[in-house]
Amino acid sequence: MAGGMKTEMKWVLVFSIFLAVVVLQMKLLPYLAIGNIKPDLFLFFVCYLSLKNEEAKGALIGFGLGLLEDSLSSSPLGVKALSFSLAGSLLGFVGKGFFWDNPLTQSFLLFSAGILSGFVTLLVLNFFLIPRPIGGSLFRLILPESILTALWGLLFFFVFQRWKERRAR
Amino acid sequence: MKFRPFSRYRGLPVLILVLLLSFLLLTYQVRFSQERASFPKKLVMTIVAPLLRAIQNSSAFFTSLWAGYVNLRHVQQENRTLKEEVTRLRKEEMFLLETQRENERLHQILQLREDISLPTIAARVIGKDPSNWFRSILIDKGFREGIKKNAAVLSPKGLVGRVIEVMEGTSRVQLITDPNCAVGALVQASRVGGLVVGEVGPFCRLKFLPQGAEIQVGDSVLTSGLSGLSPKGIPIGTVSAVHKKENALFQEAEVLPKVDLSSIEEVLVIAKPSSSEIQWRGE
Repeated sequence: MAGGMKTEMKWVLVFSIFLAVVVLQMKLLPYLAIGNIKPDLFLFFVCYLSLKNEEAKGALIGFGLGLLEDSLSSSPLGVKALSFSLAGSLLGFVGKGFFWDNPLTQSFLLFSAGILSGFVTLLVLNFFLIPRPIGGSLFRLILPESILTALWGLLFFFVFQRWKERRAR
Repeated sequence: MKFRPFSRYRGLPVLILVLLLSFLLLTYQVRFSQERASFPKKLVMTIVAPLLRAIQNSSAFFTSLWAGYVNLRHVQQENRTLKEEVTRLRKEEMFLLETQRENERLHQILQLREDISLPTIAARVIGKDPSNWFRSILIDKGFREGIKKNAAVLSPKGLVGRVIEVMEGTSRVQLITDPNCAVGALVQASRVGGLVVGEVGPFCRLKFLPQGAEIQVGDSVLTSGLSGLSPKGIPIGTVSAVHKKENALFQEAEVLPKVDLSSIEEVLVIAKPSSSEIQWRGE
C-alpha cells in the first residue's frame, strides 16, 4: 500500500516536472532567447535522464521527450523523437562507463548531444521537408542552441545535484 | 558499476525500434497531410493548453507580484507603513499600465477588424514553439470558434503567418519567418512579384525577383494575394538588403518583418481564405 502510494507520488512528481518543463520552454525561455535562439530544456532532460540510465532506457526517454517536443511544435511528429532517441541512446552508453559528475564533462556532453541532435534534425528535415542550408543552420542554429543548452544545462545539473544531496542527507 | 563495453548491444534493438517508429511517424505525417492536428498533438494540447491559457491570463498578476517583490527589496530602509503603501501603489500602477497597454493593443486589433471587410476572429497568443527549428505560435481559438487551416493571421502592423494546425480550442500559427512558410508577395514601389520565404533567423527572403527589377533597401513588401490564402495588400516587411548576382536568373532580397514576431500577444485570424484586396490603414 505504502509502496503503491510512493510509486503514485513518483509519477505525479514526474508529470509535474514535465509540465513545468513545457511551461518553461514555451513561456519563459522565449524571453531569454539570444538572437531568436533559446536553450532546449527537453534536450537537457534527455541528457540528464539518459546519463543516469543505460542506452535502451536512454533511447526510450529520448523518443518520449522528442515526441513531446514534436507535439508542442509545428514540426511533424518524429523529427525530434528520432534525433533525441539517438542522443539518448549514446548518452546512456556514455553514462554507464564514464564519470560525468564534473561541470566540464557535463557541459561537453550537453554540447555534443546538441550538435548530434542538431545534425540529425537537419538531415531529417532536409530528407522529409523543405531542404535547409547546412552552413546557415550550423552557424545560426545548431551551434548557438548547443552552446546555450550547455550553459543553461550546467545550472540545472547543479540544482539537481544539490537537490539529490539534500535528499540523501 | 563496472564498464562492460560488449553489453552496449543490449540497447540496439530498442534503438532500432524507436528509430523505425520515428521514421514511420514522419512518413505518415508527410505523406498524409491532415486538415486537423494529429491525435498525439491533440492529446498533448488538451493537457497543456489550459495551463498555458491560465498562465497567459494571470501574467498581469504575476508581473505586478514580481514588481511588488522588487520594490519591496528596494525600500527596505523605509518604515513599514510607507513601504506597504509604496508597494501597493506600485503594484496598482504596474497593473494599470499593463491594462492600458493591453487596451491599446486590443483597440488596434479592433480598428484593424473594422478596416478589413472580411470575417475575422481575434485571438490571444498562449505559447511559442519550443523548438528553434520551427517558428510558430499557439493561439487560444480553434475549430470551435471557426478557425480554418491555412487562414491568414494578421496583427495591426501586418502579416503574422497562417494557421497550420487546428485543434478544438487552440490553433497553431506558422510565422512568416518559419523556413517552411512561403507567401506570395510584391514590392510596393516597383510592383514586382516574388515569394517571401522564412529563414533561419529573424529575417525572411524575397525570392524569384526578376534580374532587371529595381529593388531598393527600404521598399515595402506586401502580400500579392496570388496564393488565395491571404488577401492582397497586407504589409509583410521592409527590404533590408538586396542580393543581385551577375549570372543568376533571379535576384533576392532580405526582408525584415513589419511585425515584431517575438513579442506578439494578440492576433486577428481571417475566417475565410480570400484573394480580395485590403486597403491597409494599420500602423
